[in-house]
Amino acid sequence: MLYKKYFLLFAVIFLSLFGLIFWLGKKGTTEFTKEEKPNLILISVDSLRSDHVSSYGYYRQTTPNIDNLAKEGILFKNYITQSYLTPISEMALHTGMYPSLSGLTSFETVLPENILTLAQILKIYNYRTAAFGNSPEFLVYPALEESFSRKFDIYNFKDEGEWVRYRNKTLNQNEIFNFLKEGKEPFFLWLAIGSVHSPYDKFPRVFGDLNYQGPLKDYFLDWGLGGILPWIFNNVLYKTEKGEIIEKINLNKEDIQYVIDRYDDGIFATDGWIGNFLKELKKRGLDRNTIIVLASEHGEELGEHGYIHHYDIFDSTIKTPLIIKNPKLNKKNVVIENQVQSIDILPTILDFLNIPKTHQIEGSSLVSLISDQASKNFNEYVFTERVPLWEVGLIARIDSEGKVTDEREPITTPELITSLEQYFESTIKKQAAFYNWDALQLIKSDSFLLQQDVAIRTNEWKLIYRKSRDFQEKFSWWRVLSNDDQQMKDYELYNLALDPQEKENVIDTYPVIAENLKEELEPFLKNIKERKINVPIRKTLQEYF
Amino acid sequence: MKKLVLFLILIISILGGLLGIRIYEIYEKRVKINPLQCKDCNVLIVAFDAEQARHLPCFGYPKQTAPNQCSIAKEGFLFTNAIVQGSWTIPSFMSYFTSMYPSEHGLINKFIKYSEEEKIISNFKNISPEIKTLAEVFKENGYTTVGFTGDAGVGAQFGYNKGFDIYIDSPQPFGGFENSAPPALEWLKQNKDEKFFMFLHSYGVHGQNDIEEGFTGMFLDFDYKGPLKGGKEEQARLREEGLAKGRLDLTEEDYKFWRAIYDEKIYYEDQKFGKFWQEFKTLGLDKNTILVILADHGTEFGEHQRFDHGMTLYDELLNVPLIIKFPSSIEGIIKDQVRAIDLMPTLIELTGLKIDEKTKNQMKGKSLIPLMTRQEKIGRNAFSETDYRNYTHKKSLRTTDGWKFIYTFENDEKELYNLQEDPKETKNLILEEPQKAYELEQELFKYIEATGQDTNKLKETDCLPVYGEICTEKINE
Repeated sequence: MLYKKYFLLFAVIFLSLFGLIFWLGKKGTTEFTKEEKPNLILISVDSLRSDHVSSYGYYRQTTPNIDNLAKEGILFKNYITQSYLTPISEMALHTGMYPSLSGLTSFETVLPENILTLAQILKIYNYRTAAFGNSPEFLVYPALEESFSRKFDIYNFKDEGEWVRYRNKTLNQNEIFNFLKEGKEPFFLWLAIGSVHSPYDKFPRVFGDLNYQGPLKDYFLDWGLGGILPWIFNNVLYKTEKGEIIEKINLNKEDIQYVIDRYDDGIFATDGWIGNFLKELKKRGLDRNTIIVLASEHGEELGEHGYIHHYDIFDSTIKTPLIIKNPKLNKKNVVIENQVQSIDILPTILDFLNIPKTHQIEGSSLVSLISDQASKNFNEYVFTERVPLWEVGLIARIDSEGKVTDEREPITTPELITSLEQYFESTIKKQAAFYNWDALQLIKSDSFLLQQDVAIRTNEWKLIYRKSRDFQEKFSWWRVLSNDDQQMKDYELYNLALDPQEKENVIDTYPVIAENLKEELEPFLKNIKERKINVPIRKTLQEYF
Repeated sequence: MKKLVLFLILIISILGGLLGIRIYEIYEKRVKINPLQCKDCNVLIVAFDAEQARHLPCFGYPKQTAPNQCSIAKEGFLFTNAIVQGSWTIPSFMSYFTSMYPSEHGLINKFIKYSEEEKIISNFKNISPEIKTLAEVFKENGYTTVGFTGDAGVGAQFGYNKGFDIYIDSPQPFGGFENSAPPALEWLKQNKDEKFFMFLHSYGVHGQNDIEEGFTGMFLDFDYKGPLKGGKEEQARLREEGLAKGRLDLTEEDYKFWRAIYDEKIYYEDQKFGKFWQEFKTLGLDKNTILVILADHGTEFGEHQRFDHGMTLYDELLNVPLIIKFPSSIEGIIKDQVRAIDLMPTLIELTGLKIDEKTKNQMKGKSLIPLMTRQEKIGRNAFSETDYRNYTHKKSLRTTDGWKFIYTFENDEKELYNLQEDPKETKNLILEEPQKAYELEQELFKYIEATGQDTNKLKETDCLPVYGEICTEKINE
């Protein structure tokens, strides 16, 4: 009898439990709790090529601190930027859009109001936002200041005296940490570090021949305002005086190596500053809930094509380091080989922060790639655009009549002037008529700058479409300097596996590959052509050039 | 013995549990079985072109403008929050008939091309030959499909007759029920034994119609002393003036005067429909017909300082009457938001039609049956568009929790309204609610991307006339 009683009870309990479980199952999942959004630090390092970073395989120990960061996060072996110029490349990152599609294609174009930057989006979600930097572009050009400073609570690009040299003024860590520690809302900090950029010779000697005595020893290794970098081409230093070449000095391997050593010294010093910053961050416990993205907006040519600077869209200049650390991901010391690009960073960050992505974003979120769930064809093709900026700087010296106006012009040979005037008459004026604009407006306009070269890249190949070929043939800086009459081709194809320095144009050797890449380039070009953007322009004196 | 008993009790518990589950499942299925199913029933769609929901008493209007429509509403399902996908006739009705958004079905303007040299009228049959209309689906399922319309925007010239065995546009454009109802009744008398799908449409309430007997002012509750006279020329003039200037300089009394004219027109069309419905019932057809009363858009009389329709995506244009009456006496009031594109899948499911995979995938709407049987209690987000005359390009998203986001492409203007607090859409919260605005914008663009439309083309405006050659330029201040 006792048993019966118990087992009846058991049966009742059993059925009730069964029913309860069944009913609960029908209820569905419980809602997740809302977590606080993580902080974000974006460190933009100007002019740093990835193959000069130790963890990317450089033979020198240039970047111990950046390497440490890579050990705590994800390193992207094949990260490609959307331009070779700092603000254009950087804005592609901040908007997730190709330059021609956002409209910010030069130092004088303002980002249209309806295109949102990273800071603007995070502001909508109540982030505190601050930018600190020693890259002068973001302050000195009104158009860029207007575009980049939107919705930054603090926009601290100090203009200290000789602004071109303020790249080496180190950022004030106190100010930065005052911002970081203050306030309950999550923070977004953008550090725009310009110290790797030329001038190279402002940091302590670390690498190479510390006793170099060669011809470059007494020169200022800078691009503009008295620097000699623009005057080095194909191992010759062209000494000029008032626009006339007065002497040609032959340079040898050691001389160029000296320049590279000084470049590496700059990397080392910058890496040191970054290391101190990250250590302080950790010490204050501010790194625990903080996503860190370190990316360089472009690299630097160091003689591979005869010149020294960021000028074109070879890998030396567009293949740069990208390291992402997200504490929530539990991904440490991970290396990703797939090709990724600048415009992928914004969607990735928004996914990390659980914020809806804007419809304007052209890039792809890297979240699926990071979690091993992306297809093999992820980012099979990336695209980089090249405005003929240096050349336009030359043309900008002429007035609406086609007369050369500025006597600061480094080279003002009569032949060049005639050439420029003729080009103005025959090409620019015609284009202006086509667009219904006056010629000078056209030179400064977005449309003229849309006459730009475009590269399509895979990890094995790069095809460059030289839209500005005839312009470059006549007015490319170093052609004029060296009297190089060599003709360019409309297309260049480089076999990146066999020729990573892209020295040999093999467009005729691999016709099938070339055709395939041209086909893949078509939709990109069409998209740019059809895009209608209203882009305000702020004309400035281009002192920098 | 004890062991046996234990064993039996265990078995019984398990079986009891399983039986419980089974009973639950059967119960669920039974509720899911459609009590509204009306296989082989006729379908009659009665369209009151340009009739706003908010001017009908059963939708909350204080005046008795539509006694017939509203008494039918009491006998059927009244949808108080029905939103159309286009704010004027040509694109909007085609969204009903295809369950697709205007930029998808392609019938977005009267002309595809309009210039000195070339004028090409949009014909749906040429624009989207592969898209199936509701009439075609009924026809393929053995129905006779007939249409009696007020011509103009739903005329055969635009391809609206696709799938109809008989399609009669009224002899004069913008005709009311006095033109479309008599031939419809004639056909019904002669064919009442046929399974039919009928589209009965009236332009009576539209601006191009004057009240035949003259305006009596039956709904005008004050003595109007202003300069306006009423009449179709005046409405056309005010419409064009509003388009040119962006807003009119009229007083509240002027607008009330015109609303009284609108109300009276609604009343007369409602009367004419009432007579038709009486005769319909006399033929006994209400016993096996699903009646749908609807409109393609409303009409603005100053709610946003302009006249007429097509040029905006505010609620006075988008919120339309939707009433579905069954032969059985099932009724209800559905306040959840529904869309015009939901009608097609609903009617197909109600009458048990067979459709192929392609048609199924074409339809962007969802059947309203789960809402009517209260299995679903949340409405659906409503995406709407207008490219009216290429004069403007707007798209909007109206959410189930009462937000409206409107994007104007030619100037990138954005509007955000909290409809629960501000049903008249007077206070643009775009700066005050940045997060909501941001999120709704991204949602809106997901719809746009899904339609595959090239938004580059939307930045420019020009003119594709709708009313003869009238093309009004915007005057930029």
